[in-house]
Amino acid sequence: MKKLQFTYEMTLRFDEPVRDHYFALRCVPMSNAAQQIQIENRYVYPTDCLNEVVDGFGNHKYVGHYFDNHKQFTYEISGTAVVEGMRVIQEPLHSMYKFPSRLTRPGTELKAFLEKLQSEENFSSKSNLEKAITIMNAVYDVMEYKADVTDIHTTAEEALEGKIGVCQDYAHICIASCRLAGIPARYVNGLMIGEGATHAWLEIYTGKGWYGLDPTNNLHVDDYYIKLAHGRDYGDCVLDKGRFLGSVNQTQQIKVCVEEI
Amino acid sequence: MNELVKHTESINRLLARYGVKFGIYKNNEFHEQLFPFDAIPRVIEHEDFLLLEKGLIQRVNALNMFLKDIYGEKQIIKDGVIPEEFVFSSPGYLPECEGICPPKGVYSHVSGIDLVQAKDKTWYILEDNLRIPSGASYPLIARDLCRRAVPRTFKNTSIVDNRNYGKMLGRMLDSVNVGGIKVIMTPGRYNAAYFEHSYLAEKSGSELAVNTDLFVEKNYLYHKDYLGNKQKVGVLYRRISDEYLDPMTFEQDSLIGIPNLMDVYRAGNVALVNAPGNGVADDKGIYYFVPKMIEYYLDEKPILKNAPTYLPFYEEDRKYVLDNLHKLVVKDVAEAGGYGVIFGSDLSEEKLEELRQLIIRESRRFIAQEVIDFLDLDILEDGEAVPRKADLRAFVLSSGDKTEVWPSGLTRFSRNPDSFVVNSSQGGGFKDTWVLSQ
Repeated sequence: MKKLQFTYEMTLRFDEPVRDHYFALRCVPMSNAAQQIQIENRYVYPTDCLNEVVDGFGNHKYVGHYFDNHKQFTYEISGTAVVEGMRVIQEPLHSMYKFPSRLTRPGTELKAFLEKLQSEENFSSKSNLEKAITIMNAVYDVMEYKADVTDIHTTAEEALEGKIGVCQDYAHICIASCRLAGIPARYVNGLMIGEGATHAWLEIYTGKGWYGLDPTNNLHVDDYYIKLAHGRDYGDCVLDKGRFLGSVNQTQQIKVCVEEI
Repeated sequence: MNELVKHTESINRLLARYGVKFGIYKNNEFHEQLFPFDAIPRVIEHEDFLLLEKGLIQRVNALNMFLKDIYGEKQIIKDGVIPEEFVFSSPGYLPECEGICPPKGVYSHVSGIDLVQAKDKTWYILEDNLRIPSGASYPLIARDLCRRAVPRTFKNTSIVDNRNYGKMLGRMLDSVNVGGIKVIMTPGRYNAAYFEHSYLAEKSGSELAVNTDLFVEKNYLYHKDYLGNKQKVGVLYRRISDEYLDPMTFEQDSLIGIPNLMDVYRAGNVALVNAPGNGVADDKGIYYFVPKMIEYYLDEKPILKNAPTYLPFYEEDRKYVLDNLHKLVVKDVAEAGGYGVIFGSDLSEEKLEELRQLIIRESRRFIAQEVIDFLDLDILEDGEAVPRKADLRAFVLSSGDKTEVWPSGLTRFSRNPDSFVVNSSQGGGFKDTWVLSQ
């Protein structure tokens, strides 16, 4: 068990004023069996209104808008998390996590990838978790981590074909393979110890509940991870979405900091 | 009726003047074409309509219960009546709608149910359209023009007056209104059904609006008129599809949607007509299960029949389909509007084999049906009556407390004597549909 202090900061800067700005922020960690969340500070500026809602997947999000002209938009959330990872989170299984989704639809590459694993000795006699770990190991071995080659529209099939990608791609390939192998799996957005950006991994359904695996690091999700949101794939749980009027150049800066206290 | 037929040309001319057109996009180009009107009406006997009415109400009630169940308890899946992959891997299933109970619990407010009549006079359901079925305005305006052309015909024949559709629609919208004005939202004048949107707005007493007239503020939806006056919207009959409805929830690139609309809807602050997510119930794969839904939810025998349908997903059905492919019609469950429909009889042995292999590989993707021996309807071609294939789209309106069938409908026909496909997007025409009152 670890106690972590986390901060997530997102700043949007526009070179000219924008208006009628709508936003949906899905970076609100919630308490579950593996993490106890205490939110200490929440700052969204500027806003006309802010509502906290729960989406169809069970994630919390802040939605709202700001109509007047502005050149900057900031969102900040911080707090503490008491984390006890490597455990099964007992949440019911929704069947949508059993089937391919837009970014995890398997093609020939993924099917061949899984078939090879399935042909290995005693794969079929393994438990869901053991199978998923085998898949994770294989994905870690075959993939090379490299930024800026893939993007948010890259599918699991495409990423596996190129054998290059980032955490999102690693997670998608694992999810697609798990579902092909009959193991329900969902995509997770979250934070990891250290400083930098957000991270992505997956949770598989063991038969009793959900268990986190991080294929980018070939690790079980332990006490150093804070979950933000989940969905069938990346598309379901985009952390920040916005829509405004104005023909401008924008820069987005995201700062994440997680440290043990 | 003969007198009416004489007015075919003038009625078509008036329809063109009123802008009764059908727009289609093909190869990225927008073409507007007239929707040709044939003056010989389809006549439905009084008794026949009573049966249709009963059967349609039953079917739409069951479909509404199914939608409520799927986005709620999912009991029908737990009880093993429908295999879960037909629901949760359907592109029409929207997890973003999980846990939302729409005002009055109605999902499919306007249902367009397509039927055909066989030579033995039996009606068969061809498909359910629960998303944003269009077409009611065409027979509506045609009837109006016909009555003006030959008032006597309508006086001397006992035909149910169908001009109340606008009122029925307005009443239904009022019944689910959570407080505010009623608005029909159109993607704009380049939409295939723009005529319909404007006509129905006028007839139902709703505002016609495009997305830039509508905006979300503090979790409520507002309409702003050309003077800048803003009014709260209590019910939005949106004529744009789910994926473009809210760029913050669905297609992020949509320019015709309303940001954060889904959150307003989830909070119960606006009724959306029809509810988003209905596609899960009108998919061609789910069609097969509708009779089972009727038995499951209503504990009744289905009054109207499905066309005999096979699901290659089930081994027994697959075997039958593969053996009898030459005489079946195969439909791709993901396609709509008459696209993706293949008649086995049109295929060479080589193409049949290709299709068999495809069905074996992707058995979930197709349904196969017996070709129904349609009862052809006469249409007028160069002054002569010739038989053509036709279907009927019945419109069923569901309010919180009642479901009713519009005593008319859109009869579409194929102008091509060899074609079974009657969709207006593929160049067919339409007729008025007379329901006899005795």
